[in-house]
Amino acid sequence: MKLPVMILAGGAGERIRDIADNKPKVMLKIAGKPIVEYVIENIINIGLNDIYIVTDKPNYFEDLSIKYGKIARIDIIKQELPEIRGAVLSAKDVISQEYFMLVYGDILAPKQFYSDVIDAFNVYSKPVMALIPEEDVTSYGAAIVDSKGVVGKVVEKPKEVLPEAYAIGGLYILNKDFFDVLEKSEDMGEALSEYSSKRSIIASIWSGWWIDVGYPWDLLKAIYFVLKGLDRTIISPKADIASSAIIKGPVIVEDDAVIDEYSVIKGPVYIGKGAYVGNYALIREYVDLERNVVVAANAEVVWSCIQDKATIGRNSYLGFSVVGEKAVIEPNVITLTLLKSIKEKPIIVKRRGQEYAKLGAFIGASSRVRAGTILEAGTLVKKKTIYDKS
Amino acid sequence: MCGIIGIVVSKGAIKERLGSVLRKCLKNLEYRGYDSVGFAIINWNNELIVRKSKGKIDEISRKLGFDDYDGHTGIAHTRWATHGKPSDVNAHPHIDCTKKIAVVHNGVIENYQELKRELLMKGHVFTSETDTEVIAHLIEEYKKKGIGTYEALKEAIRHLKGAYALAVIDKDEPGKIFFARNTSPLVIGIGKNEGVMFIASDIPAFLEYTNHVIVLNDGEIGFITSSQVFLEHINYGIVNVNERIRVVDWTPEMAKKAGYPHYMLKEIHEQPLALSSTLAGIGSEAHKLAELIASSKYVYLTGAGTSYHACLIAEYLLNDLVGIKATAFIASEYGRFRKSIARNDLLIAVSQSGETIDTLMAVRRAKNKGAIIAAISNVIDSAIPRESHIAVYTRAGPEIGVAATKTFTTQVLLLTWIIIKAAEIKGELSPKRTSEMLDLLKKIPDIVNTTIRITEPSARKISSEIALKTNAYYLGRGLAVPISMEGALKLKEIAYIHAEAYPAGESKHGPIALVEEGFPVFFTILSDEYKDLIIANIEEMRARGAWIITVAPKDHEKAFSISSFAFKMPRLEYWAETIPYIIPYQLIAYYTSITRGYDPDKPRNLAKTVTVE
Repeated sequence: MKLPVMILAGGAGERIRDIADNKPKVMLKIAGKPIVEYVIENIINIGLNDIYIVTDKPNYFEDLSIKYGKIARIDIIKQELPEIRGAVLSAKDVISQEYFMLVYGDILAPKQFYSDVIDAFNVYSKPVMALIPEEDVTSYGAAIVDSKGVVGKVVEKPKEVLPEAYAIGGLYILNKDFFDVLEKSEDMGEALSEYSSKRSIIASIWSGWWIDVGYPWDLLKAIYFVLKGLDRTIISPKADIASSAIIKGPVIVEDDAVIDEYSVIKGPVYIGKGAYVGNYALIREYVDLERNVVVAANAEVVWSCIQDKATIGRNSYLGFSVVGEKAVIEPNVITLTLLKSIKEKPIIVKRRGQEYAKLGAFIGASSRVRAGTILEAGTLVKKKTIYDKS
Repeated sequence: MCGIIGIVVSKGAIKERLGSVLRKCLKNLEYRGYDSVGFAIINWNNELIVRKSKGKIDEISRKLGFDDYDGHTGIAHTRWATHGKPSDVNAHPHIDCTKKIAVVHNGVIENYQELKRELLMKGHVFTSETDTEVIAHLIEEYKKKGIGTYEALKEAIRHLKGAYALAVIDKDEPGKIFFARNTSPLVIGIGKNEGVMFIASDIPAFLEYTNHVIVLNDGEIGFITSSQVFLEHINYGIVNVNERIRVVDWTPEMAKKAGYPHYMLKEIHEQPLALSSTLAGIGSEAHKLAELIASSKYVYLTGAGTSYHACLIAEYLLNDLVGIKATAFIASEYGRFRKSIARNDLLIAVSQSGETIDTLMAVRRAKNKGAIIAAISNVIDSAIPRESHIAVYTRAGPEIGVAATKTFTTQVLLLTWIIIKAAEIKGELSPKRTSEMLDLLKKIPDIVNTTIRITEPSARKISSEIALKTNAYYLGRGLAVPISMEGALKLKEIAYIHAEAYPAGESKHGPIALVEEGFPVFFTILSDEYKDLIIANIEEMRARGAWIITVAPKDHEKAFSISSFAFKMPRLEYWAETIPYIIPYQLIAYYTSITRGYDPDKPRNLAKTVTVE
């Protein structure tokens, strides 16, 4: 099928700015790959290969057209106008086919999310929009669906919870004539409502895992689903694994990673290129150590996402936490992870028959947490700052 | 349970290759079985090609090369192992020693071991462990007498004991598919285009190509060519085919997932449409049944699984609204009424497929006792409707998810309508009150739509916690008891969590002993006389640390204030609340199933239509 795909990769990403710093948030990494590459690979895997990435920072994306050049054609389009409306209109002129697929680049979901929308399109030959049954639609945008499964009113930025609404899934198949409606509308929501009243957008309800990466803790959900899918251990022959290290469960270890004496790795875990795991360190399930991350001797890490070049100091304990690029956690830093009330978005885990609501700390890019600090559950360390226990 | 498809085409009648049409039809039958797959095609040079393998259709269709083969006559099969483990050799079709005859079969041949022994003595060589293979050799054996394939099949049928739906092709008589049905379902599809004929286990298999069908009866046998159907009953002779053709109003989209991740989710979302189609389809038969009820002294209701829960709701309403003695029983438990069921008692048999063997057996036995039989089914002309004195149909469209959803709500809607009408006829309800109540029923499709929209996000959210549990109770009083039973059944069958339903008043007579900190207890509260009484039951559970989830009318603040999680439902009259109030339970079961990593459309150990006792 010849269906061009428009991936929206711009957006300020304010809510995750401390972790992403200047980078587009879709370039944050999960298990060795930027988020946007998961989107691209899913699209290629359902048989589409004509891709346009719309971004306000094109230089971050140039390598992608080379990396995927053999299997897809990827063009980078500069976003000229603000908001989603502006991004879509920026790519208006490159779409020559009658229908096109529109994808938000910060959505992580399995391949079936995309193929279901194609299925609906093939069956009904009408525009389609993916919707998610989320209670709190205020973070995602909201859409009402009628009893025939057709989208009614769409609100891009709902101010309150709408009891009958679904969250916008960030995946559409639209006809080219949508651009005309969008140009005359204030925002994407208004345009979709108007367009559906004429063309009937079919709602494709998606029930599987789906993550809109907006907040730092969304990365914790993302590593869970991505690493849960691991079914084997792959260790690069170029990695340096000490004979006394214990590696259990599905684990990926990339080139030049070093796993030192007596460390214990309990998968599913991802250890990126050039990462270092020190003596006696304990790396527990759902840990993602990106490129050149250092986990020093005796440190313990569980269910955390650690971006490139960050350091976890000796004797530290880091759980249910996200660490931005180049952040330094000095020795003896402890994250407290047990939430007393469930007001944040905790991770619910079951251990020894008991359920716990857990959430650790969010440590900004290029920040520094002083030795001996105890970080309360849910602490945010702003980027490029020094966090002292006093 | 297995799925069968057979197709005969004349030259140029279809654009695609026969192999790919077989593959597509087989994919629609996958819910009936999915451990191995195979096909046999007679190509345009009249050669017989047989390919088969263990595995699911999508995984092995390329390996088998479905799409590479063309021909005029083909049969295919998707298997759910009963005799012989899933393997390449045990996959259907099975062929005879001469490699001319290919057979696909759904069902169980009870006397296959003795038949096999006799055939072995006569020198036949068997390659599989299946009961099916004897059929191919049996036909081969009778053909040695010099008779044609059809006569040989007829002869073979006389020796087969058990349940079967068969499709047979023979290289010696290309261009024909021979078939026979006993107990296991089989349907003929007459192609929209001239020169195409289908035979299959059910209608959705070929719905993309035709909606003109003939549903076969037990004991019927015959063959199809690309343009003709020959049909006869093994005891009663030739059948007039034209009188038997039915047009179904199902669309091909109905039998596809069409953008939903699972059939079950699609079918949950289709309920508003299924309910309004069922209301629109109410006609003279429903009126007749209402009259029958009004004039009956005693009404029995029977069904299995979800259909039994619909029977329980009807039982309550018959007693409560019509004031008639009514008893619902589980179809396989018919035996307990064999002495008491009497001439002119009414038995209402409820079965989605109309083929459920337990229900069919109860129908036959009650009929022998002189009872009047009324069928409620979703499949026109299926076995139970045909053996009943009167049949009323729900119009839910094909239901493919193994867990019943839209067929349950449409059954309840149809039964509620009929019972209100019966109450009017009997003088229990005034004409004014009746029309008020029927007006409320007309609003149910819209109310269900709103209910799905409001409850789905909450059900999805709460499922991540339910997924961690190993047990649950579903409690209610009055009409909420069958709703609770249906909710518990849904959770058991697709999320594999042990769940029990009890009348809330019964819970302290035993079940409460299991309740401890965090034990999930679902309470269903309707706008009836029990809505305040049940508060004490919630308190009992709460005192023991139970995790309480309440489905109740939205203004029932008292109940919500003592619950951990609330589904705030539309307030209606209690008898109309049964339909919307099951929605959150369907959604909870669905989302819990996928959170636990299961496929809700293909629950382990379960089949959509149970055709063995």
